[in-house]
Amino acid sequence: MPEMLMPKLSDTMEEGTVLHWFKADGDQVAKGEPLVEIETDKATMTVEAPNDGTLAIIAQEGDTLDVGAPIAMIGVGAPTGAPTGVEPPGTRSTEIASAEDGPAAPNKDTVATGIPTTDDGTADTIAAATPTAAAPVPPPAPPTPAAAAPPARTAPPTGDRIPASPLARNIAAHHGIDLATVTGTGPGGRIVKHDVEAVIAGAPTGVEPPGTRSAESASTEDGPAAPSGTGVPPSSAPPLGGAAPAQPVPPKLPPPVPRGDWPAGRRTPLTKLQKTISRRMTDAHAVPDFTLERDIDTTALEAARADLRVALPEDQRPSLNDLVIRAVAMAARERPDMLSRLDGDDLVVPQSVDVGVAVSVPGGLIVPVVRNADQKGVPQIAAEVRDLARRGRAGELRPDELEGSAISVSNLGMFGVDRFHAVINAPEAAIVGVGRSVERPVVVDGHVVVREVMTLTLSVDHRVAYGAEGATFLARIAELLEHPAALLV
Amino acid sequence: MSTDPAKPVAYRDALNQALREELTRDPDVFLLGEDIAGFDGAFKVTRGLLAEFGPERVVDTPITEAGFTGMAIGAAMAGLRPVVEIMTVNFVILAMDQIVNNAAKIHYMFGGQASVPIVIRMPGGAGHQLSSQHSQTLDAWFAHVPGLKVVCPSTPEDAKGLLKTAIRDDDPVIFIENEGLYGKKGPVGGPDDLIPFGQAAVRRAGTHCTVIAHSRMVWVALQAAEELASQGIEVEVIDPRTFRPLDLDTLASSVRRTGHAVVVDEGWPEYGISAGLATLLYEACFDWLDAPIGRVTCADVPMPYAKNLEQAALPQPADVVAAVLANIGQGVA
Repeated sequence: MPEMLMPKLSDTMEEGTVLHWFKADGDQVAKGEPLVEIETDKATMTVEAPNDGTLAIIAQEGDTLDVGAPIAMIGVGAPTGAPTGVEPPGTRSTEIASAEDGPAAPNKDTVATGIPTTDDGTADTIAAATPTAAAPVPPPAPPTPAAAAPPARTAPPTGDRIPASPLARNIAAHHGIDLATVTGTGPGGRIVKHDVEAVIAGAPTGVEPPGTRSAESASTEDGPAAPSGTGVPPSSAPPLGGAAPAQPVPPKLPPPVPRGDWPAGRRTPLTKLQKTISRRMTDAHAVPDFTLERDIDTTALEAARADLRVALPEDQRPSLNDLVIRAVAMAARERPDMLSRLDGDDLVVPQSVDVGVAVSVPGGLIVPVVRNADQKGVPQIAAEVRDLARRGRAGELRPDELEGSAISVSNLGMFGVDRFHAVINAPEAAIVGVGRSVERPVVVDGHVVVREVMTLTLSVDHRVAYGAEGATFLARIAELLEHPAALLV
Repeated sequence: MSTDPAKPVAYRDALNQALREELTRDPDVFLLGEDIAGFDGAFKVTRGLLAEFGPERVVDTPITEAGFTGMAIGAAMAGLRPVVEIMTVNFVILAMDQIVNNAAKIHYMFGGQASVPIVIRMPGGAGHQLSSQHSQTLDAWFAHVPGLKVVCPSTPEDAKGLLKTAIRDDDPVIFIENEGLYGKKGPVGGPDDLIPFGQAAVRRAGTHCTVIAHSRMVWVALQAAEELASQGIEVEVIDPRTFRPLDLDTLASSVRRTGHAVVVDEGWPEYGISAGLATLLYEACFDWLDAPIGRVTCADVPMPYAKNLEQAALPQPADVVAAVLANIGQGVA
């Protein structure tokens, strides 16, 4: 039965989270119908069924899996119920125990898998314990007396065993956390320290009431004594992690404080979006950049905006930011050097003027892209940006709508910010920071007069372009914005 | 030759300083090996010593590794302190019987009636297109043997300080240099600065993953650490410096703190230094590990001659970066 794998929905996607199955386990699904909603590092997408058949869900809602990991099986003649490997607790051991009891076992995986039966039942054990066995295990038979009896041997630890690192097990045991409730994000879905900490951070306090730890359990958590001959006296073993909050028993394994001696506090794991932003910002930090600032007289621009309000339907009326995007796109068309990106020892000039627009979303920041912005008029840019922002905040953008911009515009003017230095959206070479447009005293022809003024900043990757080049580019943007009719051609 | 501790000294010259100072300090010390006297040594480690100390203490030998190593072991049993130079580790194989069956066993089998205070120096390592027979890293062969001490210096300071300690040690010391390090410059200690055996050196502090590397691989690991730091990942690079005795305390306490370990070794992967260290760390740190211990080693092949294949077979900084990222659960973006 064909496996359905976690799809790679963007160039940078490494793992995805199953948000919602539109079909239930055991349902018939048809090729092309919406089947599952997947959250990637950038967006939430609906994935269609790849073929017809009966759905057997492997990844439950909320599970995070690496790209390429099986999330379901869809096939003909699939039984109802989950495939092996995700059976309800308790089913597995019955299966194994019965299989190990010999020829009288109620089901024979070996027939379907092709693994020959041996007298001692070894092959049965292997087949039953292999989650990817070709044939799903039929619904468990009612336990026979023989199967219910304690098996002669203990079942192999592969079937029900939850993969978890020793450190994660240790921390989970210390906090009384059932590993079955923890989602593993390590290689192969292994539960690692971070995953248990996430549960601890999200759990209500008092998971472990004071005084419940017996002296015996405390002593077992001492960690293994160093094997003789290794030269590590047990007393030299440092506790896991760093500083610990107060505990009823002096903890041998206090809740770890990872990565530095930060004070204890409420801990919230980053979302995938936040992780992506974190990584991208760290990348950007390596860019040797400089920032230019320029005040722009927006009196005429504000007047033009007011006129356009009369001329355009509501969803096409430009914000100041839309007009800046238009000006940046027009200037960039004349100056492809400002769109270049560094690739090794080459400069790559993109073939189209695609402008990224920073959009604040709950819990983060996304940069959807206005394609060919230099070829689009102000009303179209205004409408597109509005649509991108709305769908971005709703988490409905496709990954390809978030990739490939050549220069970006970021605006904090609506919050009363006068000017700011934006972080370059690497690998782009430049970003424009838009401050608020506000009345300021300005000297014109020897007289102090009141004008609308807005400060634009241009941050540039100094490996790609230099001060004078950035300055002339910024001057051209200013010229266009101060002559707003030019924006409307 | 005067020693200015502020002046960077090449690894080969640091070894030369150690030999000169110990030859001066102790009249029982003498050197022997192929081409070490008239030719100053294949890697010029013994440069100038013949002129200074004469042919009785700086002895050229025939191409007879088993013979002159055995002779030196006998001299050591009789009370002298020979320092043998084997041209490269690839030729020590001829002398393994003398080293393993005699040098390592005599003190033990004769109830301490005799000791073998010998130092056997040799460079290992690859990277110069010398093909399969002349590019080997055999540290593990000696680290396997009880009765030997095994030293693998990675810096000029260690080369000098550890060689002086080796010469003054009463047990047989296998002192493995690296062909790729002879030109490496750095500060060195003075005539009385000895570096004790069994003390690992933390070459770079970090919190996210412990990277254990020795000899030339220390520098590979440090390059990788730089690259990882640019991604926000701080690895702790620890150089064991000596494998017998081994400072497992320092390694284990670091791994317990980071929860992650990657062992880098220029030798082969199977049953070697990386395998041995990983096992010791599993025994000492199992309940602190957040991932299986990673290893970066030479490919499990005889060293190819072709430059590109040779470089592909050897551990590179990018390999260490990838191993660390895999270990801490981050894909390579």
